[in-house]
Amino acid sequence: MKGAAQSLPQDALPDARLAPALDWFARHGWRPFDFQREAWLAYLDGQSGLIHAATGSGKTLAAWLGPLLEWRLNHAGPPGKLAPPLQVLWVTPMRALAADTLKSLEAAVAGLGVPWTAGIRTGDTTSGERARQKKRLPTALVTTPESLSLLLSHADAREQFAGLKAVIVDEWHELLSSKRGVQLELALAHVRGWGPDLRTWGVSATLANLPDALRTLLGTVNPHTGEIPQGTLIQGERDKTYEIRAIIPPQIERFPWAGHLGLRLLPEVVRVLESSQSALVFTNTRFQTETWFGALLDEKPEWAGEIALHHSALSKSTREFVENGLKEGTMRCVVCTSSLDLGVDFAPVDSVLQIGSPKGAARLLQRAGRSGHQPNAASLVTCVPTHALELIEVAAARDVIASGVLESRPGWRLPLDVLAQHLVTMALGGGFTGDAMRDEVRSTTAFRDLSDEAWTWVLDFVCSGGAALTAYPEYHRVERDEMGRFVVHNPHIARLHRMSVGTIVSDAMLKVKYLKGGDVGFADESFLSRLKPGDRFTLGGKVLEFVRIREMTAWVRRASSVRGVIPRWGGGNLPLSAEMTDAVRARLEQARSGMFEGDEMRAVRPIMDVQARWSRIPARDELLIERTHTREGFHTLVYPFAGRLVHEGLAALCAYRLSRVRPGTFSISVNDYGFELLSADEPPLDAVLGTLFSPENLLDDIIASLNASEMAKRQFREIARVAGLVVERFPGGQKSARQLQATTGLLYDVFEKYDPENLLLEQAKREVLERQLEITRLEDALRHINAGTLTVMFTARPTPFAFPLLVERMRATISSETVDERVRKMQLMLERAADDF
Amino acid sequence: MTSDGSLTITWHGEDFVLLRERAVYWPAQHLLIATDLHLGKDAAFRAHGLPLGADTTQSDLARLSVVIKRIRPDGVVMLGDVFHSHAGSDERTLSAWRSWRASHAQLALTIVLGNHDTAAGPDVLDALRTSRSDEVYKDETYIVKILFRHYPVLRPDTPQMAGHLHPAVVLKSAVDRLKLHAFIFGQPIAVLPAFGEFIDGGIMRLRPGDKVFGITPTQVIAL
Repeated sequence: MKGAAQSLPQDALPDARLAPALDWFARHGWRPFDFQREAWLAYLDGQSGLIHAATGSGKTLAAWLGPLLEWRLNHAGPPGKLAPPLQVLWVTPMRALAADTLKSLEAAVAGLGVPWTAGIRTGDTTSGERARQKKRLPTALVTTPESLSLLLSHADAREQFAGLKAVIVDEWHELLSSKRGVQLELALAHVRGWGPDLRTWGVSATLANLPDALRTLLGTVNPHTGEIPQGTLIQGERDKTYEIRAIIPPQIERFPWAGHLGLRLLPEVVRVLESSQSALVFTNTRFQTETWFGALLDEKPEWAGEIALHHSALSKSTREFVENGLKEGTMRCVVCTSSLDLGVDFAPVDSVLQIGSPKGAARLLQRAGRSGHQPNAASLVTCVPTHALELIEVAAARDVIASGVLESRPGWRLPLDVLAQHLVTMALGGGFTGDAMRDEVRSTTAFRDLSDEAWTWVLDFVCSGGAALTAYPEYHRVERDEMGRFVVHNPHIARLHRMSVGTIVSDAMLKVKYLKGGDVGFADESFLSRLKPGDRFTLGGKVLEFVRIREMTAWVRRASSVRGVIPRWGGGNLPLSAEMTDAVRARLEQARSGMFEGDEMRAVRPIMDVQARWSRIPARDELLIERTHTREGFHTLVYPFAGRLVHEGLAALCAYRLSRVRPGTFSISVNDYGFELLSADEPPLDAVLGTLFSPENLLDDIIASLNASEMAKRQFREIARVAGLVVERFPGGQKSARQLQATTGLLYDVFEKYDPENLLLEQAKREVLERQLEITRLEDALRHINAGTLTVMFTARPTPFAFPLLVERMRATISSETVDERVRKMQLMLERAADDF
Repeated sequence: MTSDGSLTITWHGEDFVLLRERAVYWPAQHLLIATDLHLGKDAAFRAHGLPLGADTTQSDLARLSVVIKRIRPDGVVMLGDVFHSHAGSDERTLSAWRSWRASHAQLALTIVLGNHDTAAGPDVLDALRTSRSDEVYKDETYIVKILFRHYPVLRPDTPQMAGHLHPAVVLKSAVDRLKLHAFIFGQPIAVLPAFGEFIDGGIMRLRPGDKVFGITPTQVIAL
């Protein structure tokens, strides 16, 4: 029972209602924290709320004991024969956490002497267990947003949930700014309609926008009283201390200017690992994880068995093995991705390393918090830069944390794809009437501004497919029964829908299995399909020989110890947060005036001197543009320091505005500091410099440039999947799903041509603006640029700022030329091998 | 560039006109050759509850009619996968096909069945034999010396034209990348692009000696 070990002076008079909890604590020699008492009392008073605190500080018990204490208060007599029906839903974002959560919940149930049962319902739950739960749910159920929606898709859900007193959402900050959070908001709104006294509690890490997080959790209106719900914010312990260090490269002159591996610092990392009991090494990509794991084993072969790796593409059994090793303290070191950001505390872990950019201060704190669970231990994180400029980010992260203004997580607004899916789920789960459902949906924060038009459109869309399907009167997904309720009649549609409930859209992944049996994990279909039999690749630290692909599975056998190619998994590349980019700019401003404070800044000074000599270090209100010419073509490098997503948008905008003056094709590369436009011809930069960053026609120009860059198409993939326009292909899926394959690019084209009014196309464009391009941040960046000065430098060679952009592999293309022109211009380099597109 | 964007090539001593509509005309035999229409793929989506408003079945048949009007062939050869699936072959799809056939009654129709046609069931197979003069072959047929099949098989020295693979190619330079549907003319196998609009191109592994012709919105280009 973590976090309960420390005691604090208690001014409050003991409340008799808390006695069972205090007794249990006393039996173990613990004393509750103030915030835990506060949470229990608030619950007993009938309130809802949000508990926020650092990881491993006793949040779970703070949220969980309220319902148990209430039961004790209301049930004095001996327990009945049967355990009580469902009382509490515990929603967790990760099904891997469910088992450990269940254990802590059960310990408290036993400790407080409450006759409750507890169980799990996730995608991993066996069919036998499901059947038992179908008869009767346990008193407390640990589940995920997806499984909750699935439970609600059954007609007897209301009956099963009749005794529900509380929903507790764990790690709410993780769900908050995702579509999964919206899915949960909608489910909560529905469940709230069934019980006037239902309480909602959230457990969250510290965020900048906690009041928003609370409002989103509670909904905008109580469906029974019409009142605006007032929740309680409960602040956990503050006194945890954090220390952020960086490994300073011994010779900065020889440290790379670009790169993403950071293996140069391997000896220093090994030294840190040698001096710690148990360490987590966080990386930003699965590719990095595999690389670092291999490198550590090469360096320290005697560590075999004591070090492991963990990422979401590994098989469940492998991940569980590693997690257990961490809990028991048998692992010296685990190299991992965000797959271990969350979850149960690994008490033995005393050291955390971060390879590469921390990206955000809150994220770095979260990772740091995975260490130092021993009483009075500080949480320590050691940052390992992968290139010189990342040293500045470490200094910046420390500045942000010191300022106390961490990143916020914005919720979603009007994701119609999630609503469309939810409405089909609701039609399955006993049906609904239009007006009541509209009001219920509007009681969520995500849809409080849902217009009547949009509501009618979505309802029409899930029923008859919308205006574009008027020619197909036989088409129905959701139908109206004789009572006028919206229901699903077709069992085939019901099955297909239940199979695809959820908002997590992964790249097409194939299972990787040994010929002799046994799962290895998953890898991208596009990577696997490029392999020839006999090719070797690395997954989960094992070198495998590819044999064949059959039935959505890649069959492999163990290869001898030769190293294999490491697959690159697709997936988001987080931008440096706005708080971080501001802090980086502040540090650069200092460097410009010769101020280099702290080890990291002093270390990076020689590189900054080169930048100043070859070009310049921009002032805070100055936009630097560098131009240079290499064998590849003409490079235009722009450094707004606004994060990679904003740069993607700005780059598209600039390419578009340049190509309007003279048609051309630009290859774009971006990072968190700036972007590069590469073109075969010299771009007409001087002609447009005055208007290149003008806010005039911003939206139109961005949307026009987006159409060209096909970002909306990419975003449409997720929307189409969530809204039920396509069927995800997955291992073991129905054969019939194979007849329904179309890449979303093709689907987007077909919709643009035949159904241009479809609101989901609008949504794709809006999501690209809001989420992918962070339009608000982009507008801020443009304001900043326009208020400041602009300097163009011609450089003889790529500068330290330019270098990382030149080697960035991910490139997008923007073109205003016709396909024919592009074909002619291209060197007609035909790819002779199969390739993904 | 020809006015209609087509490109004439010689393969095994015969001239073939590659059309940007993703079909081939064989002037010596007055035959139009198309493959992989996948009629009813749109309907298959709808039958599974996926709200797709596009009538690609109708528009693909209309595109085919436009080509026929321009080229005026004596006959059409279809290399299989005329229909997409059982679920998509509803009455609307089948009657679209029948009325298309009726509006070109004078055309000789030769069909080699594809795996999708066979799997689509007896209704589809019946529909494919609407006219008594139609020739429907299960696996393959020869016209003059050329073997026509749905999916290609390696048979040395037999010039062979097939579909099934929906070939596409990727063009790439330092600054650009582009995917095009394509005709692949190798020795001895030629693979035609899918005629259906709602069909993705698959990137093919090319073999030495393969000649590749990419299709842009306006023309066919030798690559």
